[in-house]
Amino acid sequence: MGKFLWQRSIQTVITVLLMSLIIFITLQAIPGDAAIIAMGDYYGHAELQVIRAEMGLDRPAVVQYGMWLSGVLRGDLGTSLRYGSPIAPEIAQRLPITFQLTILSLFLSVIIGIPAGLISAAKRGKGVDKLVRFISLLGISIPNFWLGLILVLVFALTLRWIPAGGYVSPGEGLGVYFKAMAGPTITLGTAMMATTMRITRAATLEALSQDYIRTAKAKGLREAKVVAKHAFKNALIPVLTVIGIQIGFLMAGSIVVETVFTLPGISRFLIGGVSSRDYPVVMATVMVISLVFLIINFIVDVIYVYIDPRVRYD
Amino acid sequence: MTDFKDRVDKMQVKIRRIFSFFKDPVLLISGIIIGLVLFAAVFPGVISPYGPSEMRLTHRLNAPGSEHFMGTDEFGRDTFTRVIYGAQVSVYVGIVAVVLAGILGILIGTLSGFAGGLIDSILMRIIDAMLAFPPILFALVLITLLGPALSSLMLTMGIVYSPRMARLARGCILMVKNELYVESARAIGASNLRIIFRYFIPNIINPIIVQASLILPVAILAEATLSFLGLGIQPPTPSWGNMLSAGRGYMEIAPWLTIFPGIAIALVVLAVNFLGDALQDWLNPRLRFKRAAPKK
Repeated sequence: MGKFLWQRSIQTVITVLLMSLIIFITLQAIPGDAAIIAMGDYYGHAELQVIRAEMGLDRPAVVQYGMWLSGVLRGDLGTSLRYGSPIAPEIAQRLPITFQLTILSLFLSVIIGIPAGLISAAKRGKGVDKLVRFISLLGISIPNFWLGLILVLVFALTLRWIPAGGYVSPGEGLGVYFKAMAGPTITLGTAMMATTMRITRAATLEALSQDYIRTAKAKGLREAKVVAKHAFKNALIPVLTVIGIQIGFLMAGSIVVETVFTLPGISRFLIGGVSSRDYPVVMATVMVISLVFLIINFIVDVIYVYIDPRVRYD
Repeated sequence: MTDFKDRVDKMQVKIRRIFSFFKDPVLLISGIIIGLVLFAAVFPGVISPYGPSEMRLTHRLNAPGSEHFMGTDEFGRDTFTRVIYGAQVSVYVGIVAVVLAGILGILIGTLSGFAGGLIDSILMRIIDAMLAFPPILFALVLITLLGPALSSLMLTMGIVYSPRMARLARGCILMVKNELYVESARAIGASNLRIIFRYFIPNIINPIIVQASLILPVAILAEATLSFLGLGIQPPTPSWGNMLSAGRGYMEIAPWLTIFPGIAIALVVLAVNFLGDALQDWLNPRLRFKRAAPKK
């Protein structure tokens, strides 16, 4: 286990470094450098040189990358070109909101997806199974931003059950908080719920075809117990893997959901950065989201080895 | 004579295969949807009753009715017409993205698999890093660089989805590389280029097509998403994504602006997914003969 952890950590660090390098090189190619973007239309040549020197833009790209990287390691993610303010505090303030959205969506997809998948597998070919499969197919195919808009249209604007957008902190009352998060959570969680259903169903069916299930049934165990205890336990590994992979994609999905529901999370900050070509913001937010993504994958891998002792990445 | 009969038999099998593909009602409907969308994309003027930017200010925000089947937007433009023209963008971006990703991926993958050694290691580490983070993030970085426009959108998608193609192409090449027939081709003095075109490309083409069918719906969805975020196709050019974005402001008084473009996206993505699944089975030689073998 120790060796595996060690290898996997090094691998993650290398991936992070490579990724940061790819992003850095890509954004270096933007026509007109940061100094010009920062100064807007009004600048003289001399002023530009001063700003460039201040921002370190007159140095070679390798040095700039080194400067940026050492800044990141010290918790300095750079300065926004548009607002002139440091980026790190902004991200620190917004990241928890994105995390809450991700965790709530994950929770929703698991508490509905796994039981639905189990029932669907147990009642294979019956009406319930067909219904579950149809819903999961819809969940995968409907673009999440459209689902969000439809939820707003029906539940916020027509029925007035939930607010159409905005964020309320849980400190202001849990009722209001959950109402505000309901729309975004369902929007983000639906696709993952569908995936969880499908994979749970497939894995349970696979497990149900094994010999030990026949043995369990031959012993005279009840059907429900066979499915819940013997099949589900063995189906859990692929389900967990897929959930692990999906958590990372939930972070990415939040980009759209935060826009639809005007949640002030990190993803909206990123979108703002992209539209105004505020590339330090883009660089910092993409790095932070990717880092979270990689850390989650790392944790999932470790858990995976822990649950299934047969797996050892040598 | 038997030769001729053999040929006829083979042709019959082929024709049966194509027809058996559409026996399934779901596939038939999916095929019809895709057919309609392709037709709409190629000949939008034939179907649509108005011009995509034709404004009739006396008909602003009209509800769906006999004159405007899907209603009108805030400028009095016909929503149905704009949905039809939006198909053009979706199809165009989707296909170009897939083709570009395919070409880039095959080039990188072939080079990597063929060259081996250091080049292979370096290329694959880069590909791994690109695959390690969500495509949408990478797309956003590229859009920051290129600016929001149709051409940059297509280029972005092509680049973002090429790593998967590259991995696949490399894997196939590695598999074929040490086959006896490649060795013998080399022994009789075939050039590298000949080996690539004669032996490698035909071997990787099926998995590449399957991968393309998986990427296509994702690319269509990504275009809609980016355009919705205001980072893709810019108005007044209609795209399903930017129509939804514009319709948001009028959701309470004109919900049809939010409903119809979304249905269009969902239907197309669903249809492409269904056909892609079937195509995958179809191209899989193990399943192929079970499905369409001629009865004796």
